[in-house]
Amino acid sequence: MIYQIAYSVARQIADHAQADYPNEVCGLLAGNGHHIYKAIPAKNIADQPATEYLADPYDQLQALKLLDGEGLEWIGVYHSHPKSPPIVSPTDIENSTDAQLIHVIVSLQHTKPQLKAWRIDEDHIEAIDLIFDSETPNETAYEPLSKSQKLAIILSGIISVLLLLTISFTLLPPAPEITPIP
Amino acid sequence: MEINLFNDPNLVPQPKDKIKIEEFTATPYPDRYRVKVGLKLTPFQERPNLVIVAHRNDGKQVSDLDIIATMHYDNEYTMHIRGVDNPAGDYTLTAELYYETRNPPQDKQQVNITIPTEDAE
Repeated sequence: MIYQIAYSVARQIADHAQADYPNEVCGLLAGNGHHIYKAIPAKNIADQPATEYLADPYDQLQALKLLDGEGLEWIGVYHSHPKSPPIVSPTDIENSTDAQLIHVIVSLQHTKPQLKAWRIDEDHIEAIDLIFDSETPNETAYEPLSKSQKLAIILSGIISVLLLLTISFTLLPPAPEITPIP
Repeated sequence: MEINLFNDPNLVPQPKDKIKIEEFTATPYPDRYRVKVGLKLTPFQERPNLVIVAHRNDGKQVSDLDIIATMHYDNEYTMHIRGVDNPAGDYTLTAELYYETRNPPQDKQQVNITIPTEDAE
């Protein structure tokens, strides 16, 4: 199985992991189908954040609302391994609850961050090949408009038409006086 | 910043019945009283236990190491040779991997090393 990930998203995940090193970081991944083009960080509220992660439920809820509003699919989760390879650990297996979600792990073990994706279905661990999606022009190109954005566009269109009509009527020359012919 | 994709098909975590010792190495440090031990395991889904014991060629146990539920598949340890006046000689290091019981262990490997005399340094 192959998933595509926008390089900007991979970099965002790696930046997040490096910013909180030596603690683990986590977040949600979104996109469409097998394309990942959005990462939403969540606060790690685990008791021992250097060796485990637990995404803040409030951040998860906010992230899911955001995805819903943007019409994106929740594809998976990401977390970091600050000092070990990006291989799914026994703790990751124990804490995995949804086999439909993929797990992207970023490792900071070496100088260059390493990324790997997995699917965890109870005892069956499947390695997922990641490839960088160089053809993704940018994130905003794929983002559908929210309801408020659509409303703003419609309103601005109506206002523009009304303004145009008002100006047109204002600039019209006065109507010629009609004098009756004797 | 460059990001690498990790795509090694041999490093997929396996169920415990497939876990074994993949690589076992031992290298004496120049001070002759310490030994660097490398122990690489099959990537695992459940954490195994490890025991490493070092014996001198006359049978005397000079060092041992117990690791309960190891965190990583690729491990490095330092063992200290104790109870000998002069560490020079031949040694056998034995590594055992087990889950529920050590009798018998799930996997076992040995490696031999020679610690030189001080004059040989």
